[in-house]
This record gives sequence, C-alpha cells and structure tokens, in this order.
Amino acid sequence: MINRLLLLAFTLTLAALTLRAELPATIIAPDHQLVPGQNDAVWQPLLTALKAKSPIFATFEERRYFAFKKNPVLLTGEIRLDPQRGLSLHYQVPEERILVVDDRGGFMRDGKGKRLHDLPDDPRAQAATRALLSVMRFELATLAQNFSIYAARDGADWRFAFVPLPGPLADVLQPITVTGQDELVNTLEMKKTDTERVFIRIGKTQTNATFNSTELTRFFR
Amino acid sequence: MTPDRQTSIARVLLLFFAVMGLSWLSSLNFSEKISTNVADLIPTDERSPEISLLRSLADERQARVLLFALNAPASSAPSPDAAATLFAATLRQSPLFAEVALLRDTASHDALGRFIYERRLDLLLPTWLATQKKAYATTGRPASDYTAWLAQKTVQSLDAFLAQPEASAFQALVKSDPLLLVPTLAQQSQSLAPATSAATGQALVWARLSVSPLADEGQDPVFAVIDQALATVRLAHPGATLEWSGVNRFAADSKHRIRAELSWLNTLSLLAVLAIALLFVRQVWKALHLAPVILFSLLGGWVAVTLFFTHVHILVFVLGALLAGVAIDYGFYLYLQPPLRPGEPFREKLDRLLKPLLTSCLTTVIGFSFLLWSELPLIRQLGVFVSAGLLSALAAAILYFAQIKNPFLQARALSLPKTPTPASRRLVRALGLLALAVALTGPWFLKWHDDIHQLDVPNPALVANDQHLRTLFGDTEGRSIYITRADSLVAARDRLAAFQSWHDHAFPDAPLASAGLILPTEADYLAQPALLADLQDFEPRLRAALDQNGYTPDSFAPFFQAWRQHLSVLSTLSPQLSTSAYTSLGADLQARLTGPLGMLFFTGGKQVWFLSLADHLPAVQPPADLGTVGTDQLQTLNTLFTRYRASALRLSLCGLGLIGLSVFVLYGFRRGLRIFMIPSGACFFAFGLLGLTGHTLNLFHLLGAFLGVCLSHNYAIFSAENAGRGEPPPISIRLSALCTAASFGVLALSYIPVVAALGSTVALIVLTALVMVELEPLSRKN
Repeated sequence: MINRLLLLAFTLTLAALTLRAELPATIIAPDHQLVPGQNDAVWQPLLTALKAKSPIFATFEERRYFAFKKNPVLLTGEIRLDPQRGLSLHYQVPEERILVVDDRGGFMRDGKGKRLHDLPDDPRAQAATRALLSVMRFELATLAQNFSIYAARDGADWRFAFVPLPGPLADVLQPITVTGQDELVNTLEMKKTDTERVFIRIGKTQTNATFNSTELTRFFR
Repeated sequence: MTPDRQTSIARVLLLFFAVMGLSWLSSLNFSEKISTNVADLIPTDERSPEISLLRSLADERQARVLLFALNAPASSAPSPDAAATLFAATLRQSPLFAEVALLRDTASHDALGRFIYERRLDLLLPTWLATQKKAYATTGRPASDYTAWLAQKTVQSLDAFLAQPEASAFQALVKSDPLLLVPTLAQQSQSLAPATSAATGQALVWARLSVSPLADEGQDPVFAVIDQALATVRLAHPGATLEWSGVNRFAADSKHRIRAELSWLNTLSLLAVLAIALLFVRQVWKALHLAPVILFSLLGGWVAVTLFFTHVHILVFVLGALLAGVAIDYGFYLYLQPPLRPGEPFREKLDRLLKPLLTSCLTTVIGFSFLLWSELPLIRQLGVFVSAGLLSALAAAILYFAQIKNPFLQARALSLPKTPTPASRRLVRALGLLALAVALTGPWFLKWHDDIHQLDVPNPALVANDQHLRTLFGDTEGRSIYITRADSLVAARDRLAAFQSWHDHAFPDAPLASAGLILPTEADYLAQPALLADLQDFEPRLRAALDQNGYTPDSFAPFFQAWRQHLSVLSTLSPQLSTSAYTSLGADLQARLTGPLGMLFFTGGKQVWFLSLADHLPAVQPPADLGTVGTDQLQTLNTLFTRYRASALRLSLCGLGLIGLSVFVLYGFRRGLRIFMIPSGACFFAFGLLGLTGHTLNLFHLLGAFLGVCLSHNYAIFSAENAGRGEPPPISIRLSALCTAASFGVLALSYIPVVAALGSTVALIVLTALVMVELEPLSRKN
C-alpha cells in the first residue's frame, strides 16, 4: 500500500515537473532568438507591459556563487526602479550598501548615504552596468546593440536570455537570464562561469510605488 | 660756464644717456626678460614650504596638462572615439607634446593592473605583513599564536569582503589573492580612477606638453598644432568641434589682455594729460617740451629694473607707466616757474628751485627705496622702477631745460581768490572739519582682503570653459588633493606614510587614495624576510581555516603556489634586499604610470612627487613636518598676499617716517609739520572715504597710498616754498596734480582689479592733497 502511494506521489510529481518543463531550461537556441523590429511583434504586448511606466519597489534576495566557496553568499535588500531616475539596489544584509545605476553611469553609497565611489569609466564595466538598467527597463533595442536576445514563454510565464556579443563585454559577462510572470520579474541571473554567478530572486513587488523626497535623495543620484 | 657751453654739455649728456639706455634695452630678449607668470610674483625662495612646493609643481608637470573634448556630430557614423584617435595621433607627431592619451583607452590602466597583479607580493605584501604584525601586537597574545591568528583573520576578512556587493568584480582575483592585496588596493584607489561625465558624441583626450605653457613656445606654436590636428580630423569627420583648456590658454590670453590694457591705458592717460594741458597752458605745443622728461624717466625706470632683475613681471610696466604722472612734476615745476627778471639765466632759476626739487625727489626716492626690502618681487621691482624713474626724470628735466632757449611755459591763471574772506574761511574750516571727521572715523570701517585673482585680467569665458572641461574629465567638488614631495623616493614614501597616518586620524571616514600607496615603504620592504620567517606554517594554517569556514582550499592553489615561490625567491635574495632593489621596484612602478596616471607619481626637478586624493572638502591642512600640502592653493596664496601686505605696510610706514624726518630736518618743526600734514591728511581722508563707502582694500590700495603720499608730499614742499615767500601755491602744483589724477584716474578703469585699486587710490589722495594745498591759504586770517 505504502509503495503504491509512493509510486502515485512520484508519478504526480513527475507529471508536475513535466508540465513546468514546457518553458525550456535553456532558450539560447536559434529557434528562440528575438530580433527587435523583425520577429518581436508577438512579444510587443508583454514588452509594453514590462516596460516600467511607473516606479517599482520590491524586496530581493541575491545569492552569489563563488568557485572557491561551498555555499552561496546571501545578500538581501530592496530594489527601486524609477523610469526616469534609474535603478537602485539597497543591500541591507549583511552590509548596508546602495548601488545606483542610471543613464549617467553608476555609483555606490554606504549605509549612511555617503557616496563611496563612482563605477569606473571602463567601457566594459559601463556596458555591463548599463545592461542591467536596460534589462530592468526591457529596452530591447538598446540591449540588441551589445547582446543577442533569446525569449520563450508559456502562458503567463516568460524567460529572456541576453547573451553578450563577442567582444570585451563577453569576457566579463555570460548570459543574463530574466524570468517572470505577466508583467512582473521573478528572477534575474548573471552568469560569468558555471561556478560563478549571481542569482537574484525578486520578492513582493509594488508597482506604482511613490518615493518621497528623502528616498529620492538617498536612493538615486 | 657760458650758456652755449652749458647747452652743449646738457645735450651731450642727454644724448649719452639716451644712447646707453636704448642700447641696453635693444640688447635684451624681452620674451625671456618679461614674465606674465603669476607664480613669478611669488619669491623663488619663499619661506613657506607649501608655496615653494606648489610653485615647483606648477612649473613641473601639472601646468603642462591640456584637456580636450572632441565633439562629433550625431550623424557622423563611426564614433567620436575614431575622431579622437585621429586627433591624438596628429598631436603625437608634434615634439611639443610629450604624451597624448585617449581617456577611454583602458590600455594604460590595464597594463598597470597587470603589473600590480603580477608583482602584488613584491609591492603589496610588505605593507600587509607590517600592518598585520602591528595589529597582532595590540592583542597581547603570545608570538606562537601569530600564524593561527593571521590565518583566521585572513578568512574573516575574506568573508566580510565577499558580503560586499562589489565583491563579484574581484572574484576571479580572489583565488590567487585571498589576502585581498589587490582588491583592497583597488577599493582604496577608486578615487584615482577617472569618473568622466562626457556626453554621448564626445570623446576626451588628455595631453601633456613637453614645453612650458608659460613660455612663448608653449603657446602660439602649440595652438597652431592643435588647429592643424582639428583640421585633419575635420577632413575625415566634417563638423567635428573641439573644446579644450590648458594653462597656456590662460597665460596667452592674460598676456594679450595685459598688452591691450597697456596700450589703451597709456593712450587714454596721454589724452587726459593733453586735455588738462589744453585747459591750463596757453601755447600747448610748448608743452611738448615735457615729453622728453617723461620719456627719459620711463627709459631710466626700464633700464634700471631690467638691469637689476633677471625676470621682470609685466605688471611692473603696467604700473610703471604711471610714472609719467609723477615724473612730469619736476618738468612742470621747472618749466612753469616764471623768471624773476627778464633774461634770467637758467642756472639762476635752477639754483632757487633746486632745494624743493631735490627735497621732493630724494625723499620720494628714499621712500620707494624701502620697497627694496619687500619679500614680494613685484614690489621690489616697482621700488627700483619708480626710484630710478624719478631720478632720471629730475636729471632729464634739469638737462633738457638747460639746453632750450626760453624754458618758461606760461599757464592760464584759473586760480581761486587769493584773498581769504570770512565766508571762505568759514567754508574752508567747515570742509576741513568734515574731512577730519572722515579721516578719523572712516579707517575704522576698512575691510582688507587679498585675492590672487585680482592680479590678472579676468576672463570669465575661459574660466567657465576650464570648469566645463574639468567636469567632463571627472573633477568633482568636495574632494581634497594633496601633494607629497621629497628629495628621494625613500624619503617621499616615508613622508606619504606619515601623512597617511595623520590623514586617517583626521578624516577616519575618508580613506586616502594615492599611487604611492602601491609601493611599500623601504622599511617594510626590507623587513619582509624577518616577518615571513614567523609565517613558515602559514599555508597549512590558512588551508585549515578556509576549509572550516566553507571554502574549498584547493581553489586557492594559484595563491599558495605564488606564496611558496615568493618565499623561495626571498630566501635566496634576502641578503641582497637593499635600497637599490627598492628603488628599482619604484622605478618599475613609475614606468607603468603613463598618461593621466603619470600625474600621481613622478620625478621632476630632482624631486619625487606623490599626489593623493581624499573624498572630503579641503579642511585642516597637514602639519608642515609631513612635507605634504593641500592644493587648495589659492587660499594659501591669498594668505600669503595678506602677509605681504603686512610687510609692505611696515616698509611704507618706515619710508614715510624717514620722509617725515627729512622734512622736519630740512624745514624745521613748524613748516615741516605743515608739509607733513598734507600728504598724511590726504591719505587718511582717502582711506576714511573708502572705509565709509564700504570698499574692501588690498595690498595694491596700500601701494597706491604710498605712491599718493609721495606725490602729495611734493606738492606740500612746493607750496611751502611759495608760502615762505608769501606767495600762493605755484600753478605747477595744480597742473601736475590734475595730470597725475587724470592719468591715475584712467587706471581706475583698468580691468585688472589691482591696477584699478592702485589708480583710484592715488587719484583720490592726489586730488585731496591738491584741494588741501589750494584751500589751506583761504583758511588763514589776513
């Protein structure tokens, strides 16, 4: 009896996994390549919904995988995305830091709001930083200048992969993968090698968020 | 002596002085002799070490940097970078450019990064070892626990580092550098990385001249090369535009503006003097006889100042042009005095006028001679120029009028009533009381402030352009820049270490960034073998600590291999580790610092320089013994000028004291007091008026006052001579004072603030003295 129940449970689990597997594990293949202006018509409704028109506030968990560490390092914090001002990642644990990325570049602040340093004017660093902002804004036309874009969807679920074009950026960054549901982003993964990657899971998301003047000063340029 | 012989001798002497003076001047190389460099206003042996240091830096390297922003039109296909590459390549072909670098070109940064990474154990390990040893000493634990403690601490630091968001960027490094030598340096040095803000469509080019930007060859020839490079770029990228800034632009602009000032001020001054002459003199053409006196005076000033000083600042000639106003005094006095009888020989006329002429000239010369003791070269040069100019003017006036037939110029009377009335007495006394009130109260309201900017002709457009360029190149406000300098690499690095300790204590939240910190101090470098001897079992200890804390120790194989190799090399080299090896390491590092990075650590003028940056507003200056100064130099120079003002005030007071004393000796107490009252009263009144009207005065108001006092002192002597004979003040005083006031009043229109300050002060004092001289007889009872 117990064996039959276990068998049933295993079968149901397998069935569930099979259902989920309709969104392929890897989408980096010619079939899934998306070229803005050529074959993105079917994606336009989703892309329009994804393009942030209003400020967004969310919590996030970031797992950093290092080749020399057995377990990932966990960082948590808040994310703020303002269509005009850019992206702000407020790391709260284990150490308070604020990373601001906008059209003018990026910089880091400490927990007290003191500006620690600008991101260097290295074209590779700038391209990677701007890519993160463009990804969060879903500016596919901009991203297409530096990345090959791949996309797949299954109902409300979707996945994008941005693979750097050959060049200096490809030396420091492998695919950026973004997954989500409807107009919300769920996860974001930036991979350097198989053992070195950053995986971000977006928590509770609040669209149409309002940032008061103190928040704007502290979390943006 | 017969009149004919007297005429001949006077002509020969005049001719002799003219030929000698002009020959000397024509033998000079004026571009070398005359300086437009503001730094030349500061003594070469300035006793403040910070000023001497900043002055050297300006001469050495900083001033040679040019910043370019190339704009390509949006439609131009490749990118502004392509245009900038072509522009830079064209500039590099000129020997006038020592270095040209594209700011976006990361090659020099990459090369430096590679060098630091490859030599990290040579460069960074000695400082790390010394720091850890010091930190362990504070724990009070036994020496036997040191390795275990250090292994554990290394892993803790690694944990803390990986928890920082920016750690991802360094993950590839960490496997070969778990001590975090390079990541820590990179984080400390972030302020040094250019954080440019060039807009899209713009490319930035940094260049360093091989010639001085203050020399002629660093100006027009360089401008021509830049124009040529832009023209070349436009052939391939039509519509490309260029914005650029550099010290040579400021220097050239300043030179042109000062020359233009010199030209129009002199013309206007001449016209003003001519207008007054037309008003007072019946036969104006006869006034041309005064021109040789002025020309000889200027010739004497030029010859003396170029003879005594290796370099003369151009401001001396701007200010010295005013000598005309003073020099003409002696000419007027001699020329306007009527003969006592028809046919009176010049010799007789001269005999009766010689005492006041000599007294006024020599006392003024004595006063100005005191300026030779000033610390400021400009004031010393001005002292020589005016003293020599006045002596030449007197000599020229005597010789010139000795060789013309009828040395008398008739003036229109245009005088005040000669006989005082009760009403005029009341009016003059009331005015006197009012002036006394102003002279006694006004000076208490005076505000003094010296600003080195006032020495130059301001060009707001160039300043705005420079600020714009600097912003594009990442210059931000709220940052402090320090310079450390010493005679050798070892001494400079030791000073930097001492300065870093001071800075960390003074600004704990703003760590210092400096290319010098890449290099260990010599002491730490040489102490390596001893410090590593205590760490024989560091590798197994660190492996164990890494494993215990969730790391895979084998991932750090590149580090352990490099560590073992370093120990092995040190064990073979340790007896030979010496200052020369250390100096060689420094030279290797310096060779990698090219382009803008070369400004951070360089050798020049037999000195080694380190530039350090910190993210805080300039506040406390480091103690003098650290050999380091902040570059908020203008404030320092302003302070310096304030000090010079105090020094000039002391010298002026001494000079005036001597003038007063000589007057009392020559004229007795009563007449001496009357003579002395006029210049000092005019001076106090002028300062009182400036104080009550809220003017802020500077060093040049003080110099103007000194000059004004000397001039009004002449009028007081000449009028005293006439008063002694019961005559009204001579007409020459009126003419001379008005000419002087006109020529100095013209200076008040100058765009150079210090020249305007000097001109307005002299004009005010001279006019006040004239009014005093003219009205004083009207206050007396019949």
